[in-house]
Formats: sequence, C-alpha cells, structure tokens
Amino acid sequence: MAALGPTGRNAELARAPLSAAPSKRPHTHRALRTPLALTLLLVLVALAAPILAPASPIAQPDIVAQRSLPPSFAHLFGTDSYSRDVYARVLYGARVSLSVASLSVAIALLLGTCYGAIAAFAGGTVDRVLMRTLDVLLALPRLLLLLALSSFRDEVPFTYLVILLGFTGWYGVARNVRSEIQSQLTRDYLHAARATGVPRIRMLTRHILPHLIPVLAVYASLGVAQTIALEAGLSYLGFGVRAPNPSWGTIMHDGFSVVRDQWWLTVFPGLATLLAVLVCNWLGDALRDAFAPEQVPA
Amino acid sequence: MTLSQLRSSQPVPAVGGGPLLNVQALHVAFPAGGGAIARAVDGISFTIAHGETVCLVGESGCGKSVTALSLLRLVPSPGRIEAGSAIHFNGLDLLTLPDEELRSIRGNRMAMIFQEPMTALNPVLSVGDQIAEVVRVHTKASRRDAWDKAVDMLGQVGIADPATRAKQYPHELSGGMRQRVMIAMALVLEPQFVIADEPTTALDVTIQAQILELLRELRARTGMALLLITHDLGVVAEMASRVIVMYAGQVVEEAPVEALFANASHPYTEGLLAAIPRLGADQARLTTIPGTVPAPTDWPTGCRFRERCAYAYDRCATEAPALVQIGSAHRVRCHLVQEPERRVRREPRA
Repeated sequence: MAALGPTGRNAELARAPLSAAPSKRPHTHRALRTPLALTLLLVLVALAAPILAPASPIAQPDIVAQRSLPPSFAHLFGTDSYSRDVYARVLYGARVSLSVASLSVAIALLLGTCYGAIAAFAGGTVDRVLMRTLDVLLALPRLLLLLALSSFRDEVPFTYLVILLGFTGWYGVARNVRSEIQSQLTRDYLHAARATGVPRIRMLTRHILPHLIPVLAVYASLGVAQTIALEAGLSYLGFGVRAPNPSWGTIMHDGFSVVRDQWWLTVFPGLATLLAVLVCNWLGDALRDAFAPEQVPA
Repeated sequence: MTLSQLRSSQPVPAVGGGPLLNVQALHVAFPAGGGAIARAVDGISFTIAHGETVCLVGESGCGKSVTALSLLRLVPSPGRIEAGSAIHFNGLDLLTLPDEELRSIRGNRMAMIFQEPMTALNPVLSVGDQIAEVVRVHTKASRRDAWDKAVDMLGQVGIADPATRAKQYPHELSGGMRQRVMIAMALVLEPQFVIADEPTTALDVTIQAQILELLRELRARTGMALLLITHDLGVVAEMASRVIVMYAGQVVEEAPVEALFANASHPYTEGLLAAIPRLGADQARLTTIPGTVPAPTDWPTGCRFRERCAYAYDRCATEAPALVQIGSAHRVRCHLVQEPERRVRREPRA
C-alpha cells in the first residue's frame, strides 16, 4: 500500500491555504475512492472469512443427505459432492487466491525493480546483456512454463506456487523500472542534486525511487489482477493449491466434471474471480490516472 | 545553532594570498560522431578573487556552460576535461581530487545555480526538503535543524511565509519563486564561490531584475565570489566587476567592467555592445553580428572570429592571435592590438 503515501500527502497540500495553482488533485482522488474502497472490502472479506462463513470450508457434515444441494438459504451457494458449503469455500478461497496473487506480485516487483535498476545504472554492455536476456525470457510463454514447472509435483504447495508466479512475473516490471530510471537520470534535477554534493545512494533512494512509486503502484494492482486470473486458470487445470483450503480456481476445478448439473460449483467461484480481477484492474487504472498529472511539472 | 557549528569538521584549506579560483588551460572535448572531436572549451585560463563578481559572456555555443560545469567536474558524459587542464580552488587541485572529497565541496564551498528553475528542482520532494537535504548532506545537523535552516534561507531569499512554502512542491510555485528556491539551495551553506548559469534567462523581465537584486544583496551579505554566466550585457553592466568574453571555446577579451564598456577592443565584444538596442536611437533594424559561431568540431585556422569580423585581413587567416595584455587587467585576443592601423571596416565575408 505504498501508493497511499504520496496520495495522502497531496490531498493535504491541496487544502493548504497557500496552494498557488488550483490543484486538480481532489478530482482525481474522487476517482480513486471507489476502487480503493472495493479493494479494501475484498481484503476485509478475505480476512473476516471465519466470521462471515456459516460453516467450515472443509467440514463434510453429511455426505449423503447434504451432498450437491443447489443454492438455498441454508447454503447460499449450495454444497458440493462432499456436502461442503460452497459459500464458505469461496470466502476462504479469497484468502488463498488473494494472498497467492499479492505475495507473488510482491516478489515480482522486488525482482523487477532490482533488475531494472541495475540495468539502468550500469548502462553499456551490462544493460544490453540484461535486456537481451529479458527478451529471451519474455519469449517463453508464461502459462506453458508454469505448467511445465508445476507438473514436477503431484500437489503444488502454496509457497512453491507463490515463488513460481513471482519468478515468472517480473519481466514487465524490470522493463518499466529501467526506462523510468533512465528517463530520470537525464533530468536536470539529478544534475542539480549532483552539483549540491548528494551522494549516489541517497540520489537513488531520495531522488529516483519516489518517481518509481506510480509505476510500481499501477503495476502492482494490474499484476495482482492478472495473477488472480492466472492462478485460477492454473488451479482449474489441476495445478493449483489444494490443502487445506482451496483457491477459487481449485473449487472451479472440482466442479468442472459436473458443470451441467451443479452449475453453482463453478459459477460462484468464477464470479468471485471475475469480481476481484475487475476491482484490481479498476484500481490500477485509477491509480494511473491519479499519478499522471504529477508526472508533468506545471 | 550557527552555520559554523553545523558544518562538519572538515579541513578548511589555508586561504593564502592566491586567487579563490584559478583555471589554467582548461580544455574540454566531446567525441562527436564519425571520430570527430568537439573542442567545446579550448584552452581557457582565468582567475577569480575572493568576493569578486565575474561575468562570463558569449553567445550560445561558445562554451560558457561547459566551462561552468567543468569547475564542479560535472561535464556531462561523454565529454571530458583533457589532460593539461588545471583547476585550483582555494589551492586544492579539483581535477585530481578524489570523488568523495569533491562531493564534500559541491554545494558546500562551491555551489551552482542552474538556468532552468522549472526542471532543476525534483517534483516529488518539497522545496524545504530539497534545501534541507544540502544541509544534511554536508553537515551533522539534525533533521529538525536542517529544516529550520531551510525555512530561514527561504525567508532570506525573499519568500513570504517561508514555513508554509517550504512544505510545498515545485509545481505549486511560480518560476520566480522556484529560482529563489534554487538560490536558497545554492547559498544555504554560504559557499565561498557560486556559479550562476544564466539564472534569469528563463524568467520574466520584471522577475529578472528582482533575482539579480537578490543575488547582489546576498553577495554583499556573505562575501561570496560569483561567476555569472550570461549573454545579456545589461546584466553584466549591473552586476560584474570584471568581464570575460568567450568566443568559440576561447577567451577573446577580459577586462574590468568599466574598461570593457568604455574601450571594447575585440571586434566581437564591439559587436556585442553594438547589438544592444538603444531606446530612442533612430534605427530601422537591430544591429547584429552576421553569421554564427563555427562548429566546435572544426574551428577555423587563424582567428576563429575572422569569418564574421568586419576588420579581418590576411594575417587573421594564417596566424591565430594570442591573448595580449593592453592595460591593467585588460587582455585581448586580436591582431589589431598590434596593428591598429589595420582597423579598417569592410564587409564581412560571412
């Protein structure tokens, strides 16, 4: 949530009595409000799953009488063939799906930022080698790579999946970070900072990194959206997290064979995935718009 | 806390009788495409005394800014200062100084005010932060003390309500205010020497006068030496005690300001002075110097100004003039000094 820092501070500035130019900030903030609130809601729902869910997601109360029930007041999203409550499973699934996505995106951001920063700062041959390597990596289809790597294991553990997704998701970040730093390096204010004797490390942390926040914030939210969908796809294909709690993709995978008779097994987790992806994409777009005016000094 | 207490205990070089800044045979070259080398600064020598204001004058492309950047060893890559050049500041050899020691001089004892206040401030840091950073980088001041110093400095450069302004970001300030912030940044540690690279070029005329007045006032208060780079002779007349005129990477004339305006001896200086529009003069057109500065990859043989000179004669094409002393502290690079009888106006060839 690093993105919130500058946003909040600028909101404060906009209210400052002396602000010279009429600021556009409050307007762009209004556009951020809804997607931000929805994202928080999503996270809250995942965190509050034990409170919100009527039953345990893994309990099998009565495998004969309560199996494969359609949605009703007792079971909002119905039950599956093991009599488990699908509503509870979807709520708990949010925890798995969201944490897989956000953790792997965090890894991707870290890797990509380091890689891009090294390329931009080193320049010359190092930069060329790193960028050509990146081209090669980008040429590998991510989904096939993921399938190949996860097929080594019968069951994909949570950590393994997070690492897999993280290590295959940083290419775009690296490119963006590199080009952003490169464009910053030619700016006058870095020259001016050098002229006032600012040391190199401080130049990176104080003068350049803040400029990366917009890029990273936008990438984070869009990346989470993409990874939720990707993880759902992987799980749906049978390479997802299983024990103890299912992810949305895993629930869909379980319902796949009976999708004609028991539509609720696939439709509800599918809708949840759709909703989460939409909200994250919306947030990404709103963040991009909110940061855009800041990029151009008035 | 006073500034001397704030400043870290670094050795202050003994101030001898010598000049504050001594530049000898400065050559700066940039590799240009196709193996050509652009000699942007081609053997410049000058000195600046403690507390002196010197103006460096010349048209675009004559090497003024590169000279200024060389003094802080900030020549943009791939340009480099060539062997044989020497820059001494307070007796310290700046060109052989280790990076870390040079860094401790930049912004501290020698500072620079840049031309473009719009782009020379970082848009994501508040202006107070940017001034305080200079204090934090060079002294042991606490965050709080550095901030207070920044606010105090903003007040000194004539910004009203400095405590509020310090929290604002560059895009919230006008051009004139941003230039004041740049000046505050440069002067916050009271450097002995400040380089101002066309500090008023990007500003409105009314603001220009205010900024120059501010610089003059701060100079008088702190006793700093000032190297003012400009192409505006009006600024020169107002600010300078001494003037260095550059053309095509060389010094062509150097004189105290009165001597220069009273007795400009190089045809280029003459041309610059004639090009100042005069109010009430019955002139249909503005006077110009015909032609442009030749390309630095290919300086002409002989005198570099001859193509544009109204007095050029055969000797100018074959023999490069030397910088000759013609009065106390007045030096000129022109053959006419030795052969005044050749001062016959003709149509320039360019």
